[in-house]
Amino acid sequence: MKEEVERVSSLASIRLSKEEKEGLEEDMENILDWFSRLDEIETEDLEPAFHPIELKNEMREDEVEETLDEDEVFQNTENEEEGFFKGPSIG
Amino acid sequence: MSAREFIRSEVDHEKFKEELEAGTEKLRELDLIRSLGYETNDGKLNGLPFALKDAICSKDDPTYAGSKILEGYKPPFDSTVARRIKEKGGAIFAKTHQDEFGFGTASITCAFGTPKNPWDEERCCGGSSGGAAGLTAALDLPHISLGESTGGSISEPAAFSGVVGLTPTYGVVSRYGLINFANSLDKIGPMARNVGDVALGLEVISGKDKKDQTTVESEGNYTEVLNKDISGMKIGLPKQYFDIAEEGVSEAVMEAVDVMEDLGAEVKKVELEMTEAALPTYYIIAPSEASTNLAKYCGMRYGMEEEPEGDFRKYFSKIRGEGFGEEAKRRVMLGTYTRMAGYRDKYYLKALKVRRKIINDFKKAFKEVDVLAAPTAPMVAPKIKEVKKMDPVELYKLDKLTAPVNLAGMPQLNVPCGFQNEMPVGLHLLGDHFDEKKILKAGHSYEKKRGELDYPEV
Repeated sequence: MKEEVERVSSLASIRLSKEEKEGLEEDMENILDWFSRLDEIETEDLEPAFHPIELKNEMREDEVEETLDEDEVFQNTENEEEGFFKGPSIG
Repeated sequence: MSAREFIRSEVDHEKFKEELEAGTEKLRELDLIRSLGYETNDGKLNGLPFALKDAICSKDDPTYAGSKILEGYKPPFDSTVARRIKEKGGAIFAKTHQDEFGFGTASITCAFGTPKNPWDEERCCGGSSGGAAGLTAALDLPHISLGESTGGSISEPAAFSGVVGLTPTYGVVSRYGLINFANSLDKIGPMARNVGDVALGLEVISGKDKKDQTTVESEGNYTEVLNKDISGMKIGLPKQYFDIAEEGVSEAVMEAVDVMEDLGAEVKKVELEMTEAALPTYYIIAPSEASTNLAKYCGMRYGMEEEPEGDFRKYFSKIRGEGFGEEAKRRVMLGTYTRMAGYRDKYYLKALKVRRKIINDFKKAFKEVDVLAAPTAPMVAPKIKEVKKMDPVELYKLDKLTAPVNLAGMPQLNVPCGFQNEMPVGLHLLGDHFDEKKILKAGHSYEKKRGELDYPEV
Protein backbone atom coordinates (compact mmCIF):
# COMPACT_ATOMS: atom_id res chain seq x y z
CA MET A 1 0.00 0.00 0.00
CA LYS A 2 3.01 2.28 0.50
CA GLU A 3 3.51 2.87 -3.22
CA GLU A 4 -0.21 3.40 -3.80
CA VAL A 5 -0.42 6.03 -1.06
CA GLU A 6 2.53 7.89 -2.64
CA ARG A 7 0.92 7.71 -6.06
CA VAL A 8 -2.52 8.79 -4.90
CA SER A 9 -1.22 11.68 -2.80
CA SER A 10 0.62 12.93 -5.86
CA LEU A 11 -2.44 12.49 -8.13
CA ALA A 12 -4.69 14.20 -5.57
CA SER A 13 -2.09 16.95 -4.93
CA ILE A 14 -2.05 16.59 -1.16
CA ARG A 15 1.22 16.87 0.71
CA LEU A 16 1.26 14.35 3.56
CA SER A 17 3.59 13.96 6.52
CA LYS A 18 5.33 10.63 7.18
CA GLU A 19 2.88 9.89 10.03
CA GLU A 20 -0.11 10.72 7.86
CA LYS A 21 1.15 8.40 5.14
CA GLU A 22 1.60 5.53 7.58
CA GLY A 23 -1.87 6.07 9.03
CA LEU A 24 -3.42 6.15 5.57
CA GLU A 25 -1.63 2.99 4.48
CA GLU A 26 -3.31 1.11 7.31
CA ASP A 27 -6.71 2.81 6.93
CA MET A 28 -6.85 2.33 3.19
CA GLU A 29 -5.87 -1.29 3.43
CA ASN A 30 -8.71 -1.93 5.91
CA ILE A 31 -11.26 0.10 4.00
CA LEU A 32 -10.40 -1.42 0.60
CA ASP A 33 -10.64 -4.85 2.15
CA TRP A 34 -14.11 -3.94 3.42
CA PHE A 35 -15.07 -2.68 -0.08
CA SER A 36 -14.14 -6.08 -1.54
CA ARG A 37 -17.30 -7.51 0.02
CA LEU A 38 -19.13 -6.17 -3.00
CA ASP A 39 -17.32 -8.73 -5.18
CA GLU A 40 -19.74 -11.34 -3.89
CA ILE A 41 -22.76 -9.49 -5.26
CA GLU A 42 -24.01 -10.53 -8.69
CA THR A 43 -24.30 -7.42 -10.89
CA GLU A 44 -24.17 -8.77 -14.40
CA ASP A 45 -26.58 -7.08 -16.88
CA LEU A 46 -27.16 -4.18 -14.49
CA GLU A 47 -26.73 -0.60 -15.67
CA PRO A 48 -24.60 1.52 -13.35
CA ALA A 49 -26.79 4.05 -11.46
CA PHE A 50 -24.90 7.32 -11.91
CA HIS A 51 -27.97 9.11 -10.56
CA PRO A 52 -30.78 7.91 -8.29
CA ILE A 53 -33.50 9.19 -10.64
CA GLU A 54 -33.75 9.29 -14.43
CA LEU A 55 -32.55 12.65 -15.68
CA LYS A 56 -33.37 14.23 -19.00
CA ASN A 57 -31.07 16.71 -20.65
CA GLU A 58 -32.87 19.99 -20.92
CA MET A 59 -31.82 22.93 -23.04
CA ARG A 60 -32.49 26.49 -22.01
CA GLU A 61 -32.54 29.76 -23.88
CA ASP A 62 -29.14 31.41 -24.21
CA GLU A 63 -30.03 34.67 -22.50
CA VAL A 64 -27.73 37.42 -21.30
CA GLU A 65 -27.95 37.92 -17.54
CA GLU A 66 -26.32 40.05 -14.89
CA THR A 67 -22.92 38.76 -13.82
CA LEU A 68 -20.84 39.55 -10.74
CA ASP A 69 -18.95 42.82 -10.86
CA GLU A 70 -15.17 42.80 -10.63
CA ASP A 71 -15.04 43.70 -6.92
CA GLU A 72 -17.25 40.74 -6.09
CA VAL A 73 -15.22 38.36 -8.23
CA PHE A 74 -12.05 39.26 -6.36
CA GLN A 75 -13.54 39.80 -2.88
CA ASN A 76 -12.13 36.50 -1.60
CA THR A 77 -8.50 36.79 -2.65
CA GLU A 78 -5.45 38.94 -2.10
CA ASN A 79 -3.86 37.50 -5.22
CA GLU A 80 -5.32 39.77 -7.87
CA GLU A 81 -3.41 41.68 -10.51
CA GLU A 82 -4.88 43.90 -13.20
CA GLY A 83 -8.20 42.12 -13.26
CA PHE A 84 -6.74 38.60 -13.22
CA PHE A 85 -6.31 35.94 -10.54
CA LYS A 86 -2.65 35.45 -9.75
CA GLY A 87 -1.53 31.82 -9.51
CA PRO A 88 1.67 29.80 -9.22
CA SER A 89 3.89 29.12 -12.20
CA ILE A 90 2.83 26.35 -14.57
CA GLY A 91 6.02 26.49 -16.62
CA MET B 1 -47.22 36.45 -2.50
CA SER B 2 -47.01 37.41 1.15
CA ALA B 3 -44.27 36.43 3.53
CA ARG B 4 -46.97 35.49 6.00
CA GLU B 5 -47.90 32.47 3.91
CA PHE B 6 -44.60 30.95 4.95
CA ILE B 7 -44.71 31.79 8.60
CA ARG B 8 -46.22 29.25 10.89
CA SER B 9 -45.78 31.01 14.16
CA GLU B 10 -45.38 34.74 14.09
CA VAL B 11 -42.03 35.93 15.45
CA ASP B 12 -41.44 39.13 17.36
CA HIS B 13 -38.08 39.89 15.86
CA GLU B 14 -36.80 42.41 18.32
CA LYS B 15 -37.64 39.97 21.09
CA PHE B 16 -36.17 37.10 19.07
CA LYS B 17 -32.95 38.99 18.59
CA GLU B 18 -32.71 39.87 22.27
CA GLU B 19 -33.43 36.34 23.40
CA LEU B 20 -31.08 34.90 20.84
CA GLU B 21 -28.31 37.20 21.94
CA ALA B 22 -28.94 36.31 25.56
CA GLY B 23 -28.86 32.61 24.68
CA THR B 24 -25.95 32.89 22.27
CA GLU B 25 -23.31 32.33 24.86
CA LYS B 26 -24.85 28.97 25.72
CA LEU B 27 -25.24 28.08 22.05
CA ARG B 28 -21.58 28.93 21.53
CA GLU B 29 -20.60 26.93 24.58
CA LEU B 30 -22.31 23.93 23.02
CA ASP B 31 -20.58 24.79 19.72
CA LEU B 32 -23.85 24.65 17.87
CA ILE B 33 -23.37 27.79 15.84
CA ARG B 34 -20.27 28.81 14.00
CA SER B 35 -21.42 32.32 13.32
CA LEU B 36 -24.49 34.39 13.89
CA GLY B 37 -25.13 35.95 10.53
CA TYR B 38 -27.75 38.51 11.33
CA GLU B 39 -25.16 41.11 12.13
CA THR B 40 -23.90 40.83 8.56
CA ASN B 41 -27.52 40.79 7.41
CA ASP B 42 -27.91 44.43 8.55
CA GLY B 43 -29.94 43.23 11.49
CA LYS B 44 -32.84 42.54 9.15
CA LEU B 45 -34.94 39.90 10.83
CA ASN B 46 -38.16 40.53 9.05
CA GLY B 47 -39.47 37.03 8.71
CA LEU B 48 -39.17 33.48 9.95
CA PRO B 49 -35.58 32.87 11.12
CA PHE B 50 -33.50 30.24 9.28
CA ALA B 51 -30.16 28.77 10.36
CA LEU B 52 -28.09 27.32 7.52
CA LYS B 53 -25.61 24.48 7.56
CA ASP B 54 -22.18 25.98 6.97
CA ALA B 55 -22.01 24.49 3.43
CA ILE B 56 -24.94 26.57 2.16
CA CYS B 57 -23.88 29.88 0.61
CA SER B 58 -25.61 33.14 1.42
CA LYS B 59 -24.38 36.43 0.03
CA ASP B 60 -21.63 38.06 2.10
CA ASP B 61 -22.19 35.72 5.10
CA PRO B 62 -19.05 33.75 6.02
CA THR B 63 -19.59 30.20 4.65
CA TYR B 64 -16.82 27.67 5.37
CA ALA B 65 -18.39 24.18 5.01
CA GLY B 66 -16.68 23.36 8.33
CA SER B 67 -13.27 23.48 6.63
CA LYS B 68 -10.12 25.44 7.36
CA ILE B 69 -9.41 25.59 3.64
CA LEU B 70 -12.46 27.85 3.21
CA GLU B 71 -11.88 30.00 6.29
CA GLY B 72 -12.73 33.61 5.55
CA TYR B 73 -14.79 32.82 2.45
CA LYS B 74 -17.72 35.18 1.85
CA PRO B 75 -19.79 34.09 -1.13
CA PRO B 76 -20.57 36.98 -3.48
CA PHE B 77 -23.91 35.32 -4.28
CA ASP B 78 -26.91 33.57 -2.73
CA SER B 79 -27.55 29.86 -3.09
CA THR B 80 -30.98 29.19 -4.58
CA VAL B 81 -32.31 28.12 -1.17
CA ALA B 82 -30.98 31.29 0.48
CA ARG B 83 -32.50 33.40 -2.31
CA ARG B 84 -35.86 31.68 -1.87
CA ILE B 85 -35.80 32.19 1.91
CA LYS B 86 -35.10 35.89 1.45
CA GLU B 87 -37.62 36.38 -1.35
CA LYS B 88 -40.33 34.76 0.73
CA GLY B 89 -39.62 36.95 3.72
CA GLY B 90 -37.47 34.64 5.86
CA ALA B 91 -34.22 35.76 7.45
CA ILE B 92 -30.96 33.88 7.71
CA PHE B 93 -29.59 34.30 11.21
CA ALA B 94 -26.83 31.71 11.69
CA LYS B 95 -24.38 29.27 10.12
CA THR B 96 -24.16 26.00 12.02
CA HIS B 97 -21.23 23.69 12.71
CA GLN B 98 -20.79 20.66 10.50
CA ASP B 99 -18.25 17.97 9.73
CA GLU B 100 -15.68 19.23 7.26
CA PHE B 101 -17.44 19.21 3.85
CA GLY B 102 -20.00 16.81 5.38
CA PHE B 103 -17.44 14.05 5.92
CA GLY B 104 -18.67 12.62 9.19
CA THR B 105 -21.38 10.94 11.18
CA ALA B 106 -20.80 12.55 14.57
CA SER B 107 -19.64 16.13 13.88
CA ILE B 108 -16.21 15.40 15.33
CA THR B 109 -14.40 16.51 12.16
CA CYS B 110 -15.62 20.12 12.26
CA ALA B 111 -12.69 22.53 11.89
CA PHE B 112 -14.33 25.15 14.10
CA GLY B 113 -15.85 23.26 17.05
CA THR B 114 -17.52 19.96 17.95
CA PRO B 115 -21.21 20.45 18.75
CA LYS B 116 -22.33 18.94 22.07
CA ASN B 117 -25.70 17.26 22.35
CA PRO B 118 -28.20 19.45 24.26
CA TRP B 119 -29.68 16.30 25.90
CA ASP B 120 -26.28 15.26 27.28
CA GLU B 121 -23.22 17.39 26.69
CA GLU B 122 -20.89 14.39 26.74
CA ARG B 123 -22.59 12.99 23.67
CA CYS B 124 -22.35 13.97 20.02
CA CYS B 125 -25.14 15.58 17.99
CA GLY B 126 -24.62 13.20 15.08
CA GLY B 127 -23.40 14.36 11.73
CA SER B 128 -22.74 15.86 9.47
CA SER B 129 -25.48 18.46 10.04
CA GLY B 130 -24.82 18.19 13.80
CA GLY B 131 -24.82 21.92 14.54
CA ALA B 132 -28.13 22.36 12.72
CA ALA B 133 -29.80 19.52 14.62
CA GLY B 134 -28.34 20.55 17.99
CA LEU B 135 -29.33 24.18 17.46
CA THR B 136 -32.93 23.18 16.83
CA ALA B 137 -32.99 21.04 19.99
CA ALA B 138 -31.45 23.88 22.00
CA LEU B 139 -33.26 26.92 20.61
CA ASP B 140 -36.71 27.37 22.09
CA LEU B 141 -37.72 30.04 19.60
CA PRO B 142 -39.53 29.61 16.27
CA HIS B 143 -37.01 28.85 13.52
CA ILE B 144 -36.06 26.34 10.83
CA SER B 145 -32.58 24.88 10.31
CA LEU B 146 -31.41 23.77 6.90
CA GLY B 147 -29.20 20.71 6.78
CA GLU B 148 -27.77 18.74 3.91
CA SER B 149 -27.66 14.97 3.53
CA THR B 150 -25.36 12.90 1.36
CA GLY B 151 -25.57 9.57 3.21
CA GLY B 152 -27.77 10.39 6.20
CA SER B 153 -26.53 13.76 7.39
CA ILE B 154 -30.01 15.10 8.13
CA SER B 155 -31.82 12.06 9.52
CA GLU B 156 -29.04 10.74 11.72
CA PRO B 157 -28.25 14.01 13.58
CA ALA B 158 -32.01 14.68 13.82
CA ALA B 159 -32.43 11.28 15.50
CA PHE B 160 -29.46 11.80 17.84
CA SER B 161 -30.62 15.32 18.78
CA GLY B 162 -34.35 14.58 19.05
CA VAL B 163 -35.62 16.84 16.27
CA VAL B 164 -37.56 16.39 13.04
CA GLY B 165 -35.48 16.23 9.86
CA LEU B 166 -36.68 15.87 6.27
CA THR B 167 -34.41 14.75 3.44
CA PRO B 168 -36.30 15.31 0.20
CA THR B 169 -36.07 13.27 -2.99
CA TYR B 170 -32.91 14.02 -4.96
CA GLY B 171 -33.75 16.95 -7.27
CA VAL B 172 -36.64 18.45 -5.29
CA VAL B 173 -34.40 21.16 -3.80
CA SER B 174 -31.80 23.01 -5.86
CA ARG B 175 -28.15 22.40 -5.03
CA TYR B 176 -27.01 25.67 -6.61
CA GLY B 177 -24.80 27.42 -4.08
CA LEU B 178 -24.30 24.33 -1.94
CA ILE B 179 -20.63 23.62 -1.30
CA ASN B 180 -20.87 20.18 -2.78
CA PHE B 181 -19.78 16.82 -1.40
CA ALA B 182 -21.16 14.26 -3.89
CA ASN B 183 -23.24 15.51 -6.81
CA SER B 184 -25.44 12.46 -7.27
CA LEU B 185 -26.21 12.22 -3.54
CA ASP B 186 -26.41 15.73 -2.03
CA LYS B 187 -29.83 16.89 -0.85
CA ILE B 188 -30.65 20.04 1.15
CA GLY B 189 -33.53 19.65 3.61
CA PRO B 190 -35.24 21.33 6.58
CA MET B 191 -34.97 20.49 10.29
CA ALA B 192 -37.32 21.77 12.99
CA ARG B 193 -39.03 20.80 16.22
CA ASN B 194 -42.16 19.53 14.50
CA VAL B 195 -43.34 17.99 11.25
CA GLY B 196 -45.46 21.00 10.32
CA ASP B 197 -42.43 23.28 10.30
CA VAL B 198 -40.34 20.98 8.10
CA ALA B 199 -43.26 20.76 5.63
CA LEU B 200 -43.32 24.54 5.62
CA GLY B 201 -39.53 24.68 5.22
CA LEU B 202 -39.74 22.41 2.17
CA GLU B 203 -42.41 24.65 0.65
CA VAL B 204 -40.05 27.60 0.96
CA ILE B 205 -36.94 25.99 -0.57
CA SER B 206 -38.20 23.45 -3.15
CA GLY B 207 -38.86 23.87 -6.85
CA LYS B 208 -37.29 23.72 -10.26
CA ASP B 209 -34.22 25.88 -10.75
CA LYS B 210 -32.57 26.64 -14.05
CA LYS B 211 -29.25 26.83 -12.20
CA ASP B 212 -29.46 23.14 -11.26
CA GLN B 213 -30.16 20.78 -14.17
CA THR B 214 -31.14 17.97 -11.82
CA THR B 215 -34.06 19.81 -10.21
CA VAL B 216 -37.65 18.88 -10.91
CA GLU B 217 -40.92 20.78 -10.72
CA SER B 218 -42.13 20.55 -7.13
CA GLU B 219 -45.65 19.94 -5.90
CA GLY B 220 -45.08 22.84 -3.54
CA ASN B 221 -48.02 22.62 -1.17
CA TYR B 222 -46.50 20.17 1.32
CA THR B 223 -48.36 21.58 4.32
CA GLU B 224 -51.73 20.52 2.86
CA VAL B 225 -51.20 16.92 4.04
CA LEU B 226 -51.01 17.90 7.69
CA ASN B 227 -53.90 16.70 9.84
CA LYS B 228 -54.96 14.15 7.21
CA ASP B 229 -56.18 10.72 8.17
CA ILE B 230 -53.77 7.78 7.69
CA SER B 231 -56.32 4.97 7.90
CA GLY B 232 -55.65 2.41 5.21
CA MET B 233 -52.08 3.61 4.67
CA LYS B 234 -49.77 0.62 4.18
CA ILE B 235 -46.65 0.75 6.32
CA GLY B 236 -43.82 -1.71 5.70
CA LEU B 237 -41.35 -2.79 8.37
CA PRO B 238 -38.00 -3.80 6.85
CA LYS B 239 -36.88 -6.81 8.85
CA GLN B 240 -33.17 -6.21 8.27
CA TYR B 241 -33.29 -2.73 9.84
CA PHE B 242 -34.81 -3.97 13.08
CA ASP B 243 -32.22 -6.76 13.24
CA ILE B 244 -29.35 -4.27 12.91
CA ALA B 245 -30.63 -1.75 15.48
CA GLU B 246 -30.08 -2.20 19.21
CA GLU B 247 -33.01 -3.79 20.98
CA GLY B 248 -34.06 -0.71 22.96
CA VAL B 249 -34.05 1.38 19.78
CA SER B 250 -36.14 -1.14 17.85
CA GLU B 251 -38.61 -1.36 20.74
CA ALA B 252 -39.14 2.42 20.83
CA VAL B 253 -39.71 2.42 17.07
CA MET B 254 -42.18 -0.48 17.32
CA GLU B 255 -44.18 1.47 19.91
CA ALA B 256 -44.48 4.29 17.38
CA VAL B 257 -45.55 1.79 14.72
CA ASP B 258 -48.24 0.52 17.11
CA VAL B 259 -49.53 4.09 17.46
CA MET B 260 -49.81 4.39 13.67
CA GLU B 261 -51.59 1.05 13.54
CA ASP B 262 -54.08 2.33 16.13
CA LEU B 263 -54.63 5.31 13.84
CA GLY B 264 -55.73 2.93 11.11
CA ALA B 265 -52.54 2.15 9.21
CA GLU B 266 -51.97 -1.40 7.96
CA VAL B 267 -48.61 -2.77 9.00
CA LYS B 268 -46.71 -5.55 7.26
CA LYS B 269 -43.17 -6.93 7.22
CA VAL B 270 -41.03 -6.44 4.13
CA GLU B 271 -37.55 -7.55 3.06
CA LEU B 272 -34.81 -5.21 1.94
CA GLU B 273 -32.14 -7.72 1.04
CA MET B 274 -29.53 -5.21 -0.14
CA THR B 275 -29.31 -3.46 3.26
CA GLU B 276 -25.89 -4.86 4.25
CA ALA B 277 -24.36 -3.98 0.87
CA ALA B 278 -25.31 -0.32 1.02
CA LEU B 279 -22.62 0.97 3.36
CA PRO B 280 -19.51 -0.11 1.38
CA THR B 281 -21.34 0.97 -1.80
CA TYR B 282 -21.92 4.41 -0.33
CA TYR B 283 -18.32 4.73 0.89
CA ILE B 284 -17.06 4.03 -2.63
CA ILE B 285 -19.41 6.34 -4.54
CA ALA B 286 -19.44 9.33 -2.16
CA PRO B 287 -15.63 9.76 -1.82
CA SER B 288 -15.21 9.14 -5.57
CA GLU B 289 -17.45 12.08 -6.30
CA ALA B 290 -16.03 14.14 -3.43
CA SER B 291 -12.45 13.75 -4.63
CA THR B 292 -13.34 15.48 -7.91
CA ASN B 293 -15.38 18.19 -6.18
CA LEU B 294 -12.56 19.02 -3.79
CA ALA B 295 -10.08 19.48 -6.64
CA LYS B 296 -11.09 23.14 -6.83
CA TYR B 297 -9.62 23.99 -3.43
CA CYS B 298 -6.05 24.77 -4.28
CA GLY B 299 -5.20 28.16 -2.78
CA MET B 300 -6.48 30.23 -5.67
CA ARG B 301 -9.49 32.54 -6.10
CA TYR B 302 -10.91 31.99 -2.60
CA GLY B 303 -10.21 30.28 0.71
CA MET B 304 -6.81 29.59 2.20
CA GLU B 305 -4.01 31.14 0.14
CA GLU B 306 -0.40 32.23 0.23
CA GLU B 307 1.79 34.25 -2.09
CA PRO B 308 1.59 31.95 -5.15
CA GLU B 309 5.22 31.22 -5.78
CA GLY B 310 7.08 28.35 -7.37
CA ASP B 311 5.75 25.34 -9.22
CA PHE B 312 1.94 24.92 -9.19
CA ARG B 313 2.06 21.28 -8.09
CA LYS B 314 4.08 22.17 -5.01
CA TYR B 315 1.88 25.15 -4.20
CA PHE B 316 -1.41 23.22 -4.56
CA SER B 317 -0.12 20.23 -2.57
CA LYS B 318 1.12 22.44 0.25
CA ILE B 319 -2.15 24.38 0.58
CA ARG B 320 -4.26 21.20 0.37
CA GLY B 321 -2.00 19.38 2.83
CA GLU B 322 -2.42 22.21 5.35
CA GLY B 323 -6.05 23.11 4.64
CA PHE B 324 -7.77 19.72 4.65
CA GLY B 325 -8.39 17.86 7.91
CA GLU B 326 -7.67 14.18 8.51
CA GLU B 327 -11.02 12.80 7.31
CA ALA B 328 -11.09 15.05 4.22
CA LYS B 329 -7.65 13.77 3.26
CA ARG B 330 -8.73 10.18 3.83
CA ARG B 331 -11.80 10.58 1.62
CA VAL B 332 -10.00 12.39 -1.17
CA MET B 333 -7.30 9.70 -1.13
CA LEU B 334 -9.89 6.89 -1.17
CA GLY B 335 -11.98 8.53 -3.86
CA THR B 336 -8.96 9.15 -6.04
CA TYR B 337 -7.92 5.53 -5.62
CA THR B 338 -11.33 4.04 -6.46
CA ARG B 339 -11.54 6.06 -9.70
CA MET B 340 -7.95 5.39 -10.74
CA ALA B 341 -7.15 3.51 -13.95
CA GLY B 342 -7.04 -0.19 -13.13
CA TYR B 343 -9.36 0.10 -10.10
CA ARG B 344 -12.31 2.00 -11.57
CA ASP B 345 -14.20 -1.12 -12.69
CA LYS B 346 -13.52 -3.04 -9.50
CA TYR B 347 -14.68 -0.30 -7.16
CA TYR B 348 -16.46 2.67 -8.68
CA LEU B 349 -18.42 0.99 -11.49
CA LYS B 350 -19.13 -2.05 -9.36
CA ALA B 351 -20.59 0.18 -6.64
CA LEU B 352 -22.80 1.98 -9.17
CA LYS B 353 -24.21 -1.36 -10.29
CA VAL B 354 -24.87 -2.42 -6.70
CA ARG B 355 -26.56 0.95 -6.25
CA ARG B 356 -28.93 0.03 -9.08
CA LYS B 357 -29.74 -3.16 -7.18
CA ILE B 358 -30.42 -1.17 -4.00
CA ILE B 359 -32.80 1.17 -5.86
CA ASN B 360 -34.61 -1.88 -7.32
CA ASP B 361 -34.85 -3.36 -3.83
CA PHE B 362 -36.71 -0.26 -2.59
CA LYS B 363 -38.86 -0.04 -5.73
CA LYS B 364 -40.01 -3.59 -5.12
CA ALA B 365 -40.93 -2.81 -1.51
CA PHE B 366 -42.87 0.31 -2.55
CA LYS B 367 -45.04 -1.79 -4.85
CA GLU B 368 -46.40 -3.42 -1.69
CA VAL B 369 -46.48 -0.53 0.78
CA ASP B 370 -46.89 3.27 0.86
CA VAL B 371 -44.13 4.04 3.32
CA LEU B 372 -41.47 2.16 5.26
CA ALA B 373 -40.95 2.64 9.00
CA ALA B 374 -37.64 1.74 10.65
CA PRO B 375 -35.12 2.95 13.22
CA THR B 376 -33.15 5.93 11.87
CA ALA B 377 -29.87 4.93 13.51
CA PRO B 378 -28.80 1.63 15.06
CA MET B 379 -28.25 3.31 18.46
CA VAL B 380 -28.73 6.56 20.36
CA ALA B 381 -26.10 9.32 20.25
CA PRO B 382 -22.76 7.94 21.44
CA LYS B 383 -20.35 9.82 23.72
CA ILE B 384 -17.92 12.13 21.93
CA LYS B 385 -14.88 10.53 23.56
CA GLU B 386 -16.05 7.06 22.47
CA VAL B 387 -16.59 8.24 18.90
CA LYS B 388 -13.08 9.71 18.83
CA LYS B 389 -11.65 6.27 19.61
CA MET B 390 -13.47 4.52 16.75
CA ASP B 391 -11.59 3.54 13.59
CA PRO B 392 -13.00 4.82 10.28
CA VAL B 393 -14.97 1.67 9.36
CA GLU B 394 -16.58 1.54 12.83
CA LEU B 395 -17.50 5.19 12.58
CA TYR B 396 -18.97 4.76 9.09
CA LYS B 397 -21.36 2.16 10.55
CA LEU B 398 -23.41 4.93 12.19
CA ASP B 399 -24.71 5.47 8.61
CA LYS B 400 -25.76 1.87 8.19
CA LEU B 401 -29.51 2.47 8.18
CA THR B 402 -29.46 5.81 6.37
CA ALA B 403 -27.00 4.99 3.55
CA PRO B 404 -29.38 2.73 1.56
CA VAL B 405 -32.21 5.26 1.16
CA ASN B 406 -29.73 8.04 0.43
CA LEU B 407 -28.11 6.01 -2.34
CA ALA B 408 -31.61 5.53 -3.76
CA GLY B 409 -32.31 9.30 -3.52
CA MET B 410 -35.66 8.66 -1.85
CA PRO B 411 -37.28 10.96 0.74
CA GLN B 412 -36.86 10.32 4.46
CA LEU B 413 -38.31 11.85 7.60
CA ASN B 414 -36.95 11.46 11.11
CA VAL B 415 -39.48 11.93 13.91
CA PRO B 416 -38.45 11.57 17.58
CA CYS B 417 -40.30 8.57 19.01
CA GLY B 418 -39.07 7.87 22.51
CA PHE B 419 -35.95 7.45 24.58
CA GLN B 420 -33.25 4.94 25.40
CA ASN B 421 -30.85 5.74 28.24
CA GLU B 422 -32.54 9.15 28.39
CA MET B 423 -31.42 9.89 24.83
CA PRO B 424 -33.85 10.42 21.96
CA VAL B 425 -34.62 7.63 19.48
CA GLY B 426 -35.67 8.39 15.92
CA LEU B 427 -38.47 6.84 13.85
CA HIS B 428 -37.44 6.85 10.18
CA LEU B 429 -40.21 7.08 7.61
CA LEU B 430 -39.05 6.35 4.07
CA GLY B 431 -40.97 7.02 0.88
CA ASP B 432 -40.67 6.24 -2.82
CA HIS B 433 -39.26 8.98 -5.11
CA PHE B 434 -41.37 12.18 -4.81
CA ASP B 435 -43.59 10.72 -2.06
CA GLU B 436 -42.69 13.46 0.46
CA LYS B 437 -46.38 14.00 1.19
CA LYS B 438 -46.94 10.41 2.29
CA ILE B 439 -44.13 10.44 4.83
CA LEU B 440 -45.11 13.90 6.08
CA LYS B 441 -48.69 12.75 6.53
CA ALA B 442 -47.64 9.62 8.42
CA GLY B 443 -45.10 11.56 10.53
CA HIS B 444 -47.56 14.29 11.42
CA SER B 445 -50.29 11.84 12.45
CA TYR B 446 -47.88 10.02 14.70
CA GLU B 447 -46.47 13.23 16.16
CA LYS B 448 -49.92 14.58 17.03
CA LYS B 449 -50.73 11.40 18.91
CA ARG B 450 -47.31 11.40 20.62
CA GLY B 451 -47.75 14.93 21.92
CA GLU B 452 -45.25 17.67 22.66
CA LEU B 453 -41.66 16.74 23.39
CA ASP B 454 -40.04 18.18 26.50
CA TYR B 455 -36.78 19.68 25.26
CA PRO B 456 -33.92 20.14 27.71
CA GLU B 457 -33.42 23.58 29.12
CA VAL B 458 -30.19 25.11 27.82
